[in-house]
Amino acid sequence: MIEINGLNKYFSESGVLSLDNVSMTVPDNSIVGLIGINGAGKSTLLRIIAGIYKQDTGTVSVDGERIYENNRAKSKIAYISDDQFYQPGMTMKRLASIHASLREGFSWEKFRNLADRFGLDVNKRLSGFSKGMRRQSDIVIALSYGAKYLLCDETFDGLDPITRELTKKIFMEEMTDNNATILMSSHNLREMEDICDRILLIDNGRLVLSADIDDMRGLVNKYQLVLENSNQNISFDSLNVSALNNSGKMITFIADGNSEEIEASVRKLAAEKGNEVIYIEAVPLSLEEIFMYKLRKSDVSDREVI
Amino acid sequence: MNDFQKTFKVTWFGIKSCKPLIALMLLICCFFVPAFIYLIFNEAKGENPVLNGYVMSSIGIFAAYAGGIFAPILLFSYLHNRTEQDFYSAMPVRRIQYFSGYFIAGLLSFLVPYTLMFIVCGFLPSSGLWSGYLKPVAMYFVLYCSITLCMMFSTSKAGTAVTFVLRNGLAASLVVLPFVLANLDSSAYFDLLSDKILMFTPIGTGFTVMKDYEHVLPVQLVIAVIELGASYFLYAKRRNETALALAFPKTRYLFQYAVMTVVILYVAAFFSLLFDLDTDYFTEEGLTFTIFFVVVFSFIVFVILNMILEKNSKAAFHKIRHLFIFLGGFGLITSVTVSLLIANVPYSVLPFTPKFAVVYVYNVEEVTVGQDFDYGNDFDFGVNIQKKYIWIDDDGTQQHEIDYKTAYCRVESRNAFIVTDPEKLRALTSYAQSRPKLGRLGNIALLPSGAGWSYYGSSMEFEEEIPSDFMAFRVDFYNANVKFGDTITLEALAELISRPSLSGTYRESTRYGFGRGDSYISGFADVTVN
Repeated sequence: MIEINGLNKYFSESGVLSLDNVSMTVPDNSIVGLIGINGAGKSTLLRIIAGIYKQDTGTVSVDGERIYENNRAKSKIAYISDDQFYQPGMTMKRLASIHASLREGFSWEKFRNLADRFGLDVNKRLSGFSKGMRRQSDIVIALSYGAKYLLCDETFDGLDPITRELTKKIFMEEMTDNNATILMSSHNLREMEDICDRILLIDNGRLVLSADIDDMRGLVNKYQLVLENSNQNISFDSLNVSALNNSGKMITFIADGNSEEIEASVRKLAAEKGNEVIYIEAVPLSLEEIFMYKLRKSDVSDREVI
Repeated sequence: MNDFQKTFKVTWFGIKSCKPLIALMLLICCFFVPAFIYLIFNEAKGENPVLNGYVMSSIGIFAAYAGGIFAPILLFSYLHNRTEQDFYSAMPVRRIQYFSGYFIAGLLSFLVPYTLMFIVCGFLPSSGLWSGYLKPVAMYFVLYCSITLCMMFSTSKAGTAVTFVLRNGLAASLVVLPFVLANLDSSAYFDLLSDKILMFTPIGTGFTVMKDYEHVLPVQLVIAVIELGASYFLYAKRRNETALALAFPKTRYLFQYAVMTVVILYVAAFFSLLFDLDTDYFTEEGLTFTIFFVVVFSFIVFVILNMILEKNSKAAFHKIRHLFIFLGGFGLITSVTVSLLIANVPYSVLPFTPKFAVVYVYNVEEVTVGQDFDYGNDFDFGVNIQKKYIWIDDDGTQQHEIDYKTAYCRVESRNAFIVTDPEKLRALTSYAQSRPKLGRLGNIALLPSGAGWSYYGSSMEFEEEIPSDFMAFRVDFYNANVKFGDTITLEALAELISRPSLSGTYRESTRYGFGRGDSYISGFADVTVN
């Protein structure tokens, strides 16, 4: 299990906190998605978990051991960077041999199998690979460690739809067959929705949401309601709603919480004004909509939500 | 895989990274083999053994410089590439393993091919083990450690270059500073200064092949070991994530203005020498030009430095107003420091306390000389009472107008004393210090000016007439322990002060101006010189 407590990371040249008091847990044998806008701190968080950066304050532990400068803890982690490293003239096999020599447990058999599945020529120079192929080669090498934790930074970027599906399938196999835990960052929320068990939303260095995908679906809803007396205004302040829109007879808003309780509250508010709710429906938001809704709530995005 | 095996693996990777260096060494070997064979053949016949040794030492220096500069760049350049750095940092290898593995790789990459070259090319018989082999290896180590330190501090090659220049420039400046404060500029001090500068500036390690500076190498080696320790410390502490050219972003402005300070000092020193400002620091228009060039060079360096540090050409004018505030502040602080502090630093607090002084007393007479006439006497103090003379050529066709001045010159040595009593010495130094303070202003630059005191004229307070019994005296201070009897002859004194151990010490730079007769010097004599 990856545990993070009170993590802070400060970039002195920009003068901002890249990560601000982040605390979270990545349970074993799960796929966790890390989402957030550009510059939110996702890559920094992954780098800290990978032991590349050192946090300023707070703790990061993998199976109870600190990660930074700890070979045993680091050997449990495979990190796929958003920017591939290769030297001029280096082949995929040569790159794998560097990994193999510095990491125990590297399986050449698995390497060849995965390379075959992705259709990669391991003896071809990486400079001759396309961006997507280099990404695939990183995935192949990272999975060949048999590491318990796989950290993927924007791994699906640059992959064609067929390769994406193959990658997802391989990730799922890795989780089921080898009990791997995968923490991946991405902008593609629909893709995350498909594969992840849990979502972590980071905004402006802060963790603003941490929830299971299934729970999230009912967590935030968009409500549509019609009142009997549509000319009468009802105050929804006590419900902490957002994106309130009152056009014509239909009123729409978004609210956090149990949909049944919110519906009951709305009916009660209407009754207090002598009005009556003649129609109300809670529509679950998609992950992307929740993402934008949460960003709006954290006052960092002025973008229209829904 | 245990820690040792992992370090060995890293070393092996490092050696592979050093392939260009190894190739260069082998190329040097191949290129010079015919020459070496020729030289060895000649040496066998007893021809040009000195030349042979010199040539071979030169090859060693070349190899040491090439290796010392390229090895750290080849090995640690991964620290300057974010992707590569992430790649290696994510591996289960600790920083100490990377550092030690790569450092050993750098040593082996030089030592193995160089040793082979040494053996194959026959260095041993022609230049000896020390000059031909050990010295270049030591030089390599000195440069290698120093540039490694700079690599650790920065995150780009340009940043490394600036750090290396700063490290050498600052060290040299700090070495020179006490000498400047003491206003020491004799040739003996210059030699001493050269020693110290070479000890602290690895870029000058090539000079250590010269016999005069051979003793500098052990000190350089000690400093190199300290730098090696500092390199690891920085390596362990450096941040991977900085976007600047420095691995320690908080040092950005300290670093930048340290570079600017060194630049200003060296530019000021260079133009001071160029315009010969030592003679009239605040009166010549050379000062204006010096200030102008200081500002121009500072501006250029500031802009380039911004681009290097920010790794962005668009950041050239980042906080440009700070440059002008810095220059203004620097000028103000320098003026205050020089005119109020340095000029009044008692000699007793300076690092060279005189052990004895020689006071010479001279007769002075008035002479009239041409304005540009070199009287050949460094006690020629002109009063600039100018007179115009018309000179008519022999054929009577051309007239020249010639400037003359009245000068007062030392014409005869009347007496000399040696002063050893500490109280009297202090009184003499206080007196000397109170005299031509401008002399120190002339040496504010951090490079030895080579000029002595030349302010006798300006420091004199002549009245309208010079008394007929006017005498001059001069005091030379020495920093050597010498035992004197009650008397000493002038010849013996001349012989004494001409000895290498004595010449210079304070003689040139702390030679003070003129008094006005015996009243200034009475009571100072410990030992009379006949």
